[in-house]
Amino acid sequence: MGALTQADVITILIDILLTYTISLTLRVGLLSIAPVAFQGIGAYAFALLTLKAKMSIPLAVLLATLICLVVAALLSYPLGRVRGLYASIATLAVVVIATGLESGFTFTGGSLGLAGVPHGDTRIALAVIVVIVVAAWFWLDRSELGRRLDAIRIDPSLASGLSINVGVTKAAVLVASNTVAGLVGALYAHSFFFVSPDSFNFFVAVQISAFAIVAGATHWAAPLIAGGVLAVLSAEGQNYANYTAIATGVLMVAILVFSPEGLGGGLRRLTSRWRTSARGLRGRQAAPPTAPPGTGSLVAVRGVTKSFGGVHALRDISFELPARGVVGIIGPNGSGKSTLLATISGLLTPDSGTVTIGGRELTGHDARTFAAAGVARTFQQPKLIQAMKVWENLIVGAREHADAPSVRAVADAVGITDVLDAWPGELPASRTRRIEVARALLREPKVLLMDEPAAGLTEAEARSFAELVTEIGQDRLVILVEHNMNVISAVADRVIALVEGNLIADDRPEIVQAVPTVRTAYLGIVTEVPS
Amino acid sequence: MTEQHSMSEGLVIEGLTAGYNRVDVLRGCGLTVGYGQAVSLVGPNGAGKSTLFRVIGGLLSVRSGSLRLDGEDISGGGPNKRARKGIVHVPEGKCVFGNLDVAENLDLGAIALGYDVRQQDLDHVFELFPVLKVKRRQAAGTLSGGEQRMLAIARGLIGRPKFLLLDEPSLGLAPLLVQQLGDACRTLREEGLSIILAEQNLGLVERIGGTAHLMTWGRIDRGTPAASIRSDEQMAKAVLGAELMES
Repeated sequence: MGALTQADVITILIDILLTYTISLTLRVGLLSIAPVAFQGIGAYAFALLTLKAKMSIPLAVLLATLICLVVAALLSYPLGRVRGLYASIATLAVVVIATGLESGFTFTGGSLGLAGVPHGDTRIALAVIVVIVVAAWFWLDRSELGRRLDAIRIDPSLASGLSINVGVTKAAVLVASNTVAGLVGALYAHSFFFVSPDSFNFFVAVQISAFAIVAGATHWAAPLIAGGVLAVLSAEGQNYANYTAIATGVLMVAILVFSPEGLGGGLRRLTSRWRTSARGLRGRQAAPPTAPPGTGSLVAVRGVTKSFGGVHALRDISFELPARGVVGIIGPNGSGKSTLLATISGLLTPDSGTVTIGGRELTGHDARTFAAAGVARTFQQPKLIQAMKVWENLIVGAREHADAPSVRAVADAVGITDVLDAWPGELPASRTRRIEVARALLREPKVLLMDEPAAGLTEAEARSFAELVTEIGQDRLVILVEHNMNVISAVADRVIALVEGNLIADDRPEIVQAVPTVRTAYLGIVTEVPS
Repeated sequence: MTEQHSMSEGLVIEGLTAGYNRVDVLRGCGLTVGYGQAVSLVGPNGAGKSTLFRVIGGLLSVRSGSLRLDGEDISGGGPNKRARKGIVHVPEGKCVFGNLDVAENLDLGAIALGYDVRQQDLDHVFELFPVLKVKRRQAAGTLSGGEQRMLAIARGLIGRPKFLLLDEPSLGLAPLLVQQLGDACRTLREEGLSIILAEQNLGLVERIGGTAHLMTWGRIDRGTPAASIRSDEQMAKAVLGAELMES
């Protein structure tokens, strides 16, 4: 291997920084390759500001970065609205458009680019930025913000139910990633004397995004190591082209085979035993207790209708629920129970009718607004973040409520104190259900929605879970969708029965269970008396 | 109490260990399932029931011990080979192709047998789950959770398995449907299908009949007739909880 030239060092530092900018977007479940376009925008802005406007170098760097910030902010809205793979393709379009604009105008020098850009040694400046970015990421891995980003990556619907603003957070991540890339671009132009569209084209974008995918998004050191090693190999590859290219390819495939979440996933697993334990929870000021719920109705559903492609899931459903107690929702499969829960938690907007929580009509608002109004929920299949310990799962997004004493109190009440330091994947269903309940309770909800919490539990586990639900219902409203009639009879003081989207009964459990339609369509009892 | 003796006919598992990473979840399982038999595994969550199904279904490899079908070792090869031998695994959860419609999902169940779905098999599953017939042109992803479960079970049945592995089929099904599913499984058994069931719903275990085994900590205990599962002291203690014993 030959000695690295000054240009090689600069290229490697820039590649590491760009790897970080793309890895950051991976952290929220996007793959944005736009940073390469913004590197170009920053570089051209710097070149034009120094060459045409005769600006001083520090001022040009600053202004070029600011221009990137503004453009990134403008683009974040359309980019944030596209989902999944299409978002990556949209960022690819940004790269293609940027290269097209750079080579299309005479004032940008066309496809030849601009030469004679004021030149200087940027190694120290770039190294300082690398240190700052690595330090920021190190902090991110340990911060509440990092957990929010993880929640968005793993399950956006879970994240918004935890009152995380998914859209704004993703947009902010895109802006941060593109702005840093713009700064790097300005320094790039300053380092290399000239800028041309080829330096920021599609192929460069693919190369850097490959670095980022190999690095993954879950460990602070991964983009540094992966970006660094791959950039060195690629710089060496200029001299010994063939075998370094092959070695690079083999290395990338090997990392992804052994660690699908990239190098970061592997590093995270290796260092997991040193990860902070629940003892690391800092005792902050306890949140003030929420005001005692009033006596009126807490949840009011009025005339709610919802259909999916002609199939009526809910037809003109109305009811009001008090601030305390346990309400069961029963009905045959496909009768609209889950749709009703989704309507009360804001995941679905009804076609007509209104949903009022705590006196505020929230119809049409998103799940986050419902969460802020005091609605929390658990899922049919518990949604826990496998890469986080149990205690971290509890406090995802629970900024103001997650002081150490309240975490301990809730864990005690729910019976999971002994597994706070465990990984959720190691625990059986009876435990993961309780962890979800604890996570919901930590937000001090006014209404807790539970979707089949007793499914898959043994009869003994279901009984002890029922006791927990009864206890929770003493201080707040619990709405429970459940097929286990033993659990319903044990906990519910009121049962709502749905059949084919119609509300056919709403009364005390023993009365609802005696309704003929409920008996034939749901319980399958013809003559016997329900036990 | 009938003790199961190992026989050469059917599915025979002996001293099976398997697991994930460095952890053995199954620690020496033994089980024999003859043709037309129903065997239910009950026991606490985390005992290894789903892991055992993944091994039998070919999704997870055998670490030691044997897995034989009619005397032939079948521990090599993936789920596709098992399916061709008539072992069909219906996993826990909603494993359907959400963007395909119900009929297309059912078609896929017949791949193992290399022919298109036969009308009589379709009639059979539609009789069992009438709602699937009504919604056969609807995308599976738009079905409710319980309906997706029905579709997954129906897709397993349409491949005419010899051994059907049902992992918690009652999950998310309304009581009426659980009863209907139990009755249907009983009929299928009488027609010669072997059913291996992992289930927490003891009502379903009783309805399907056959033998119930308690599974704890990666081992399978002796069998008990499913009908007397609630009166078996050890079983009741593990599954129903100790307090019920006293009452």
